[in-house]
Amino acid sequence: MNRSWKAFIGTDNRIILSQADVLLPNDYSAGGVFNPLGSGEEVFVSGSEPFYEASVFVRNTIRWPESRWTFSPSGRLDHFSATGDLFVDPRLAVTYDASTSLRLKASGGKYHQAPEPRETSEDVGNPDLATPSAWHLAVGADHDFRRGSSRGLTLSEGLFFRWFDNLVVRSNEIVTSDGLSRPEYFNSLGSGTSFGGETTARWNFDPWDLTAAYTLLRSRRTEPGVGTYPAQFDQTHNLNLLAGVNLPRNWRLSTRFRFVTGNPYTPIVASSYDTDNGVYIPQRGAYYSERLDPFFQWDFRVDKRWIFQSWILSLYLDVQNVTNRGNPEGIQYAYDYSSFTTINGLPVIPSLGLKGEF
Amino acid sequence: MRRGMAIAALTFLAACSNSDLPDAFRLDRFRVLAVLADRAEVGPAENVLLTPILSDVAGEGRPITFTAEACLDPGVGFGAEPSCEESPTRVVLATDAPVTGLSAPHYTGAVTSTLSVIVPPEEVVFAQASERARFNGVNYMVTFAFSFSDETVSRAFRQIPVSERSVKNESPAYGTTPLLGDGDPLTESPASEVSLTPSFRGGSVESYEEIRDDGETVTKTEKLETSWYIADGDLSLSVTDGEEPTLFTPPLEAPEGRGLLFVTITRDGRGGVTAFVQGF
Repeated sequence: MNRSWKAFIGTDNRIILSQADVLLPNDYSAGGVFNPLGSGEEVFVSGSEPFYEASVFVRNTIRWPESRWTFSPSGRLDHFSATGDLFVDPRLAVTYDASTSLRLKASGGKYHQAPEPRETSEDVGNPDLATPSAWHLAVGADHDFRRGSSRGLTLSEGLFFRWFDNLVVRSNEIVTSDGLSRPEYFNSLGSGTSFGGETTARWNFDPWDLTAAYTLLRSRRTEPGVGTYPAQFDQTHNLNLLAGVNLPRNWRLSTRFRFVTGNPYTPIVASSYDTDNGVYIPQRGAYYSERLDPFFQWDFRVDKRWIFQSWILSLYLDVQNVTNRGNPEGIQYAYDYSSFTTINGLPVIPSLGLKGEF
Repeated sequence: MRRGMAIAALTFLAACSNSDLPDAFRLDRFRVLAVLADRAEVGPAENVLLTPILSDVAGEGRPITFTAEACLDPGVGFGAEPSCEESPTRVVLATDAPVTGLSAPHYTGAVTSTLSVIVPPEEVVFAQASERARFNGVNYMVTFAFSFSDETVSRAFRQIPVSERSVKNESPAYGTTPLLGDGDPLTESPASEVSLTPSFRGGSVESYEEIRDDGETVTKTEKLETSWYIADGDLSLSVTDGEEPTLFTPPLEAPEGRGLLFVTITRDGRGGVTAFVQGF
């Protein structure tokens, strides 16, 4: 618009076209645990209704000359065919340059996201679902201690808060509609909160470069009749450490250390044998009330480069998961849910490679 | 600088998990294998006689009691808990009744403590049921809780399809020699690998009509599925379709105090169930 005010306008559209004539078993899942497919009622799904999400967004950046403030008001107009809803979501981001090395920042706004097409299907979903929404708020600061050079320390830290509403949750209720009973499949009675803090520090003191990133998170969901429980991917601690050193004669050593709190899971407290289908139906305990072991991985890499006039030859040895830790990523249950074993991620993987850059 | 260096890449992949989970076919604990019904599908207000098929090979005749309740299906096929506890149509059929009929050496088979169930009348069982649901059938559920002296409980349930069909479903039936080993009647305990197949009586596979969700009436044909159970040895498949075989490998050592045990349970996918127990 002018030197102080920049405006961006854009559009974002998504169309899903599908044609289905298929007999599907009802794949009921709650608390992250699926019932056996064999126990699910079969439902004939037929239809070709297109789903679309149409939106227009405007972003502004306003900064007056000599001002330390920058304002970024924005808005988004969304229409979701799945729910028939039209929303105008206001958003605002503000930064303040407190000094040449310190920038304070804050942002917030309202967000909407359409349910998945399957969730509003007339055959295997609930066409009366509301559109899930969220309020976001974040505050933080960026510190740059490098004083204009490329060497030194930078720090970034922040706090974030999110409030969710109308979240789609699985339902096993049989509801009455027009005097007839039908399964509800899904409803919009879920809500939730997520809040936490994150910080990233980068040091560059040649020949060393170090990076540390840490996130502290608490994410909860609430469902009527179930209560409040940790979100499926609630990871309390997420720590990443990276270090590298450039050695003489174009050698480089680098390493990465990652630690993440184990994902929560729902314990199975009992099961009932479905004699008609020959499978067991799990009885879930408190949703996501237990956790898998933490994820821990240490990687190591050695690089050697030969620099020629017109090209560079690199040889590397990369060892992922040096400690060969079996990081659990999922659960496999016994046929009767009386016991389980974990499905682990990749073991130690050394790889030796040669790369040419021209 | 060494020229002509070869490109090398090494990737080692190992198994991601080692499963020590129990085999579904192995009878090494108390198991409810099936609940047979003298009528696979009924109309409202009709009577059904239920016979549980149980296995307690390792229990060696310990006392077992059972409690049974019945109610309209709360929607188990859509994820509801298979329980009658909160149902307004709940009926208590038996409370701490003794299980009788399991005998040495295998303690496996049909019990003599059967259960007689009277399906509710039309105004109850078809309340809020669409025309389609009345034709295809709604389920009347019977839940079982088997209890032991150590206070553990094993739960199971059986759905009784209730419909307005004029031709009701019938359970599949085995032939005169239900179990074949390498194509011949299995009359002796197999000492080496043998291919096992079930043998069905003619007419076990029925055709039937069903009204789909879109209102169209379609004719379907049953698909028989057999679950296999053994106490010792190994099986290549624990579930087979039709007369598909499964390969049995005998144990290296014979079990103490009893011979080998084979159980087959065949289901037609719409309430019809039959069972065969062969102990040596």
